Amino acid sequence: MTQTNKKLHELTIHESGEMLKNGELSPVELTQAFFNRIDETEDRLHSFITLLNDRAMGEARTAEAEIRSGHYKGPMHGIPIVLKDLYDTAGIRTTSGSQVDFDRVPTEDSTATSRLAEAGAILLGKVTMHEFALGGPDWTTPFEPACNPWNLAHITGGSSSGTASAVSSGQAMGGLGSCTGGSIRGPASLCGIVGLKPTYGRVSRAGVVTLSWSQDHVGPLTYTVEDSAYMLQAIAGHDPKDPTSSRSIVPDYSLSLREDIKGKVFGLPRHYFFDDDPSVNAEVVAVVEKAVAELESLGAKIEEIELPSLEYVRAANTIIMVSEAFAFHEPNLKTRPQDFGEIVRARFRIGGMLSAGDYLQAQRCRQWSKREFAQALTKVDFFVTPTMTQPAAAFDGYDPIATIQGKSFTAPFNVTGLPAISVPCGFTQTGLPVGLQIAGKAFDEPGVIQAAYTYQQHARWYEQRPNI
Amino acid sequence: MASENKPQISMEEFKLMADRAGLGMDQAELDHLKPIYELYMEYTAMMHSIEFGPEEMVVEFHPD
Repeated sequence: MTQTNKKLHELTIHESGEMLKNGELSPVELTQAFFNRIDETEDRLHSFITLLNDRAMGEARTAEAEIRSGHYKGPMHGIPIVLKDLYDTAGIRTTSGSQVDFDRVPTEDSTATSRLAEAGAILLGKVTMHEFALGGPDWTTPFEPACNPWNLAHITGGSSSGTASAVSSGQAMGGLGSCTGGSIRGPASLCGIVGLKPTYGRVSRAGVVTLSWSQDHVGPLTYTVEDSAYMLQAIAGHDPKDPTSSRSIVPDYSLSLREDIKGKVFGLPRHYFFDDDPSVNAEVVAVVEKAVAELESLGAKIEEIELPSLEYVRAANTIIMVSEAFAFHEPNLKTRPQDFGEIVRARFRIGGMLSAGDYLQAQRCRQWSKREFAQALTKVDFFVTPTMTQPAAAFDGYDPIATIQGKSFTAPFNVTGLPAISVPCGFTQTGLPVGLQIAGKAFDEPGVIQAAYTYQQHARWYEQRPNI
Repeated sequence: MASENKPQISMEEFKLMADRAGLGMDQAELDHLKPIYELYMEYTAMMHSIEFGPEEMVVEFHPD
């Protein structure tokens, strides 16, 4: 039996790793603790679409036997995780949160699924999501929206909604989301956890249902920065099944888990992220300003910078997203439109009504932004911003149209493909989490992880858990 | 997006575009979608308002 003052479902991947490795903690005991936690909380959270109790307990017994026989695989071995329900899982239903794929059972695992399995992770289940990774909570789809563990009357954000609610509430130690405009960092920020969107091409998208192939990213949501580093380590690297996956060498991300940002320059595009705007919540900005001051107190240099393309990037992200989504979903959209939820059906249809000129202008905007951001990153090491414009909205009165209006603080890093992380940085007066976003140069996940880790170890917001 | 001077499209033109896309929508669906499409028109107008330079050529062809 384990010797810890924490409840097992409150352990992080990092904390449990050493205990699993030296036999103080059993993967079977740990996995059962998470299923117990799911039993206690799931009726209020609605995180899961498919629970895999028997399969997971079998995997846990296998992991236990492997570790006991001296075959410890690393930090993900014996760790209970979840997958957003658009990661293909051989023999396990993969719905993408839609009636369209309600009975779809893939015959192969996605590359990320199989890499986590090879690393020894235990798959607890498949979790809910906004339909086809777009829109918001939609009661016209077959699955109930996940609730925010910090306040059940509020949304989790999305589209990786179930991953965020499961990890934040202690139903899982970590999970994978996917991100086309902010679907990893957004729900991570609103649920008080860490979300890491790697550089485009760093992680294979093979076997992950497409929303917008030129902007889709795969990445982890976890309680801490180090846990995201461990998950990224397991899934990163070239994959011949994904022609966009990079051949660049995958570094050892654990080497970045040290506290040092002295002399690092953080670019702060105040004109877009911090100035008054009707779509931006002043309390969120104030919390993030305080976090930026803490970075400075840790030795960072903060420099205000101008990125004029920011004013256009959200528009480019949206146009590219719905155009590519229409191209992917066109056959089903035309033959069985009634099987799509109301929000996604509308947006995908609009994708079919945009012109080639609209799409190409958006791609040209993307080139402009990519060039501008790259130039700025020759003068600064990172960008620092709030992750979200607002704290988690209440379900009551939720307006899905609002999500396509106003600024997006996450989309710029999908359009440019740069790595970006959200790390908790405080709470609003009403107790809703706020996230700090740090983005860096292409493939500088080590730098982004180190900067976020340094802040996290100073601020220690991860020590707070929702009372559910 | 600014809500003042919101771009608008006539129902006739909107229906023509929907038909050309092969979406097969009835009038109720067209009525629902048109105001949402008009929000996206603000985005497309923004894209067409940018004066790009030669660095932003995105259509490339490599024969290999």
